[in-house]
Amino acid sequence: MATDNSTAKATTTAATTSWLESSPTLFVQSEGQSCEKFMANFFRNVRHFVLRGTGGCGNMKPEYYFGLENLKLALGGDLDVPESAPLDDTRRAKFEGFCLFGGTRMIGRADPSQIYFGITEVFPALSARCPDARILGVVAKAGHLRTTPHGTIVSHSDADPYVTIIHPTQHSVLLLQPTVDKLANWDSEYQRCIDICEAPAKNNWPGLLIAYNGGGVTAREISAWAQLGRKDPFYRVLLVKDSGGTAGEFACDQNFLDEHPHVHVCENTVESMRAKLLELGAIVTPQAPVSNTAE
Amino acid sequence: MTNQTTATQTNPAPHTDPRGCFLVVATPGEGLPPSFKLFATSALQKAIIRVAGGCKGFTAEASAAMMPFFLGGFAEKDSAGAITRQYKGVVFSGGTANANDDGDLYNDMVTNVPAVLREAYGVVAMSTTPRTADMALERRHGGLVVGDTVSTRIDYRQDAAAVMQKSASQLMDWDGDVPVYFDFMADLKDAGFQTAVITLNGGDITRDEIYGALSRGIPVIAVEGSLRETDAFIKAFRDGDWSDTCAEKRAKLVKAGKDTKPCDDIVAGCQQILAGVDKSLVSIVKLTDPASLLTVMAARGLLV
Repeated sequence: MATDNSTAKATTTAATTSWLESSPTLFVQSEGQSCEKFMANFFRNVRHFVLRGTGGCGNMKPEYYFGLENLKLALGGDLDVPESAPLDDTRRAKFEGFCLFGGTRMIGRADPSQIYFGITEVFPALSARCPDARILGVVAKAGHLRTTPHGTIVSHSDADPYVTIIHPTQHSVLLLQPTVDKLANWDSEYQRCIDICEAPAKNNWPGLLIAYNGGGVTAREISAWAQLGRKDPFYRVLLVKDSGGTAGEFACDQNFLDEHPHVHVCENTVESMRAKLLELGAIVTPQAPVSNTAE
Repeated sequence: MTNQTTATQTNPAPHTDPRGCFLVVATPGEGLPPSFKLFATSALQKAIIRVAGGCKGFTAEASAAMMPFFLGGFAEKDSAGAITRQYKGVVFSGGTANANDDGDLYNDMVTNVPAVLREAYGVVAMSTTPRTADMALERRHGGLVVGDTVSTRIDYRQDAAAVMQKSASQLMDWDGDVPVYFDFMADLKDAGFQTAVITLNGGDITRDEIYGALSRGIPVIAVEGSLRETDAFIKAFRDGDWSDTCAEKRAKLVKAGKDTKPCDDIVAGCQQILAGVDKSLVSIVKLTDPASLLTVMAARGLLV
């Protein structure tokens, strides 16, 4: 019957739309090209705040994994807050705004179902916890791409037990490549993120770099933001103390902190992270709703 | 509380460059810079309206009616004159303005509408302008001259203006900014902005803008009585009479003794577009009746 066919088709269409709509858009940017469609993410009706998250991935020591969960809770709110708690209970505070992160996931080479911890697991988790966040990945094409049933591989090394794929959970991804044949270096991710932040900064949006752990690339990004922050208040930095790696080192470098008053430090606990994120405006409680529209 | 203070500071508010009208010069290849585009997100309402067309052949009465038409159509007021509902989004146009010898800008062109509405209602005023002549800085007041005459300036009363050029040494055709601004509107539309194009008068470019908007699913509010291609469109849409579409170009070709087939092709293209679009995308309002614009603005959910 025609009616049955229509219903079946409608059902199929709805299901198709559902998984399709929730899939991240992917834009590939070669050197010298614009990325207007990716930048159009910033037109979304989301609070004007840019959070850039960076830090350790494959080289992070397991003893620092616990802080990634702290960061998830601090940015995504405590799901166990009793309903009776007041609306301004800071445990309810969540990130609202645009989040730029590395956009990747590390999965096991031998067992692709195994997910390796790293900073890039924190921000995708916000997409479920923070409905008013737009999670945007910026990925350096550090290896030649491979499409696999487990995701699109952007880099892998025989020395590592994992391969790096484009994270499946985010709203939109910008994949960076010098050319279709050449590979990008890992620095290009943070450099492009700084380029992307230029427009929000010029439009007086607030911004924040949060750094947890990390190596040389993270150190260069922290330094770049710290330097930019001398001239532009957009470029604030939050370092997690005792997170290991270079973020942890910078957090203990009093000379560096004295020279850069816009660089902040929090302890590696949910409470300390939450307090700083509230202070810096990255997370907001339901009592302080922020809307982009007057209606 | 600290967090509430900080959160309040992040509330979007109309963003104005304290130095004046933010200005960029761009090429179609590189597109409009993000720093320019993000001005749109500072509007208190997620909506963008392009005002397109011209005023050629306007009577003195029609010219005098133009700004009151927009002022009356973009805000609803009570009997005491207080605004009850208004448009708070982005209004953008071709961005040029005529100036007098003292550097003061007139409000005599369609391209002045964004600046006038900005002053009256606080909309975000933006523009894209094709660079059709070498630019100059007017000597006495420093205004940016973009036309052949010193009186054609970028309307510095706007929030942000983009001049489009092929390159530093190459000029652009008058319609050079149209694809770029349509892309801009399309991106905003994808991000949830309401969109519309209001057209008055106009020639070949305005016709392309009307049908270009419709083919992209952007509503067109056509101002009846404004003459030329806008009235030709209304005649075609409402009455199925295509005789005035492309009429000016056709007359020029006939006068030059040339083949008018290009005009036939243009009309056929317009007919094809119109046949395939949702007719509810089109609204017709009257230049002499601001209430007709107000009604359409309200019906389309553009007043908040």
